[in-house]
Amino acid sequence: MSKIIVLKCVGHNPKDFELDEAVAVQFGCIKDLFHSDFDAESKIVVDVPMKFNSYIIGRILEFCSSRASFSSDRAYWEQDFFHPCREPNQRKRKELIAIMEASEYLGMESLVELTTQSLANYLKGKNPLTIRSLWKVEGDLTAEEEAKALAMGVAKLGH
Amino acid sequence: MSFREKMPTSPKSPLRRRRSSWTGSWLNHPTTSFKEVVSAVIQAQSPRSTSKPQTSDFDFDFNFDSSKVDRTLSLPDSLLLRILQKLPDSRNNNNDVSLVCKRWLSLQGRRLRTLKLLDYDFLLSEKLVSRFPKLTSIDLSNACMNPNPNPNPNPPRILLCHKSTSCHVSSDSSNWEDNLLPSEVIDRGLRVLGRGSCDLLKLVVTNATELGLLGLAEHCSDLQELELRKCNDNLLRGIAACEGLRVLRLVGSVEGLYTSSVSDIGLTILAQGCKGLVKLELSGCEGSFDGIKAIGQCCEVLEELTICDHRMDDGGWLAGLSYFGSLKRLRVLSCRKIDSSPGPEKMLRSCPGLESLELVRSCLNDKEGLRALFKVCDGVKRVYIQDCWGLDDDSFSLAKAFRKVRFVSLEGCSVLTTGGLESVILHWEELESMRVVSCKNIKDSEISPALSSLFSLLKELTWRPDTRSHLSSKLEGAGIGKRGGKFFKKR
Repeated sequence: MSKIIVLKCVGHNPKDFELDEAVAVQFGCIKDLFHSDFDAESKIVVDVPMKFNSYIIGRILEFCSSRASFSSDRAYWEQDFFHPCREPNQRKRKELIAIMEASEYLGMESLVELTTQSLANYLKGKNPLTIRSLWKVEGDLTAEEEAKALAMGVAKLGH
Repeated sequence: MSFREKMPTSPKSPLRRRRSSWTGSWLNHPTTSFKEVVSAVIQAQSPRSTSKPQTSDFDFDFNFDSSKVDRTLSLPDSLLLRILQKLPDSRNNNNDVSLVCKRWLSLQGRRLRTLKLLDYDFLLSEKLVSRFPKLTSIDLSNACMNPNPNPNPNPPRILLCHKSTSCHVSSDSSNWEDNLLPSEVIDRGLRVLGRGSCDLLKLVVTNATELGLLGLAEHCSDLQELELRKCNDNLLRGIAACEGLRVLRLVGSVEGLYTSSVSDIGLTILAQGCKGLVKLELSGCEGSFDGIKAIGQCCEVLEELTICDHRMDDGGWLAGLSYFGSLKRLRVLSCRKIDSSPGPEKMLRSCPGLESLELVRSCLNDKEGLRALFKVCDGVKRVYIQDCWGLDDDSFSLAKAFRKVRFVSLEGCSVLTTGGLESVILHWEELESMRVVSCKNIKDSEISPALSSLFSLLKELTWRPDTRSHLSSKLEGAGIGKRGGKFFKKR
């Protein structure tokens, strides 16, 4: 009686992931499918855009299955993964950003929250120069604009 | 079928540079330009970009492998905004993330809700509304002062502070009002603010006119709180345009700073224009019975009225309080006299719903005015008297007019004695809690048995009238707080 959802990833290493209900309901874009009137045995194929490669989807599904199973390894897994600030590993940060985008696309609010918080923790206390160099952001403020932004004569009262 | 995959092996990054080298390169760099330092850092990093991560079973094809690509460009604004929202507010300008690039600057600007403007040109040039489109509360009062009216390029600077406003004045400016920006300039700024389409809820402005206010209200129809400084009767003609106004503070004259007249005419126009007001404060305003009566009759949901440093010299305004059907809280702050001619007693009717009366930093020498005030407020349940002078035993005995007091707080009433206090509070049958702080003539030694039995019946009591002796007893032996004496010994 159980429905099967298949996530079809194209791209460099195409792969199909089959999900069961406990995992698939965590995706906001998919959970509605479980409540519709499909024939119970049917397979539903969801195409994932090319920019989200199968490795990223794999990582997200790990997260989902650990959440679904309430395993005790979850805390360790999350700690290992979501604190790139402890280990300045550029690969992990890239992975984090890719997971963040993919989870927003798939509608996983909890994972988006975790990844954005993790990135914010990473950015805390860093000055703009460091941030630019870490992420190769082009600093397009002219010197005059920077000086103005710093000493605009505007005082913030906070939010 | 549950999902299972192998745990990804994490390839070790072959070249792992320590963060200190990045900071070292730009800290020690001889140049001071930001761009040069950034390019130096990128060059220092370039060996890393040639390394490729090891391939493994799990495709690791981050095709954004190239180190030149801005990794955050692919992030949509919504995600980047979510990350920025989780960052703490940066008080240290050097760590302000809005300096990273223009996109981050504009996104950070979208977070800001409250602003206190110091430079009016920032508003006039429309930069304020483009950089901070989501503002809900803005305080223009500091910016309404022209920082340098004096043509002399280096005038001696004196910082003048009055409550929340501060500005630099020169020692030879005899008329402080010259420091204010002209009304046309203020109005122009208000029109720019209105066109900027922020959903403004709160505004503080000095020296505006009704044209500016109308220009703002046309676009900012949700304005709920408004503070108009150097307000006059004409300005109030524009106030009917702010239909959603709930809280209003009008400042007419401020001693030593500026004079402006809000009379009965202005108060009547206000009453007819702002019928939904919940809180009103009149500071330095003139007017009399007619104006106050008009407000009471028209503003049917007004719950709190504050009269601060009033110039209602004609007197008789207290009688107008009985027209306030919903008023719950009356505050009288910094007034030199309560009411110079309150009128005959039979004309003074009680304000029906009033629950709380506060007298703060006011002169209570005016016994007739005080008697009239206490009569109008005779139904209050809470009384606060703080730092007022002239409240002697005779004046306080007028408080026997209160019929329903449950809570009284006396702070800084230095003339009142224990006997005077006792004669009144024994009269209040419903008294439940009391607070007496820093009233130096109320002595513990003078408490009578009747008073102490009343204390035992109260639900709550704070009794610290003689704080000076408390303080000196605590400091006993510490050597502090004594007059004179030597602190430094000769070697």
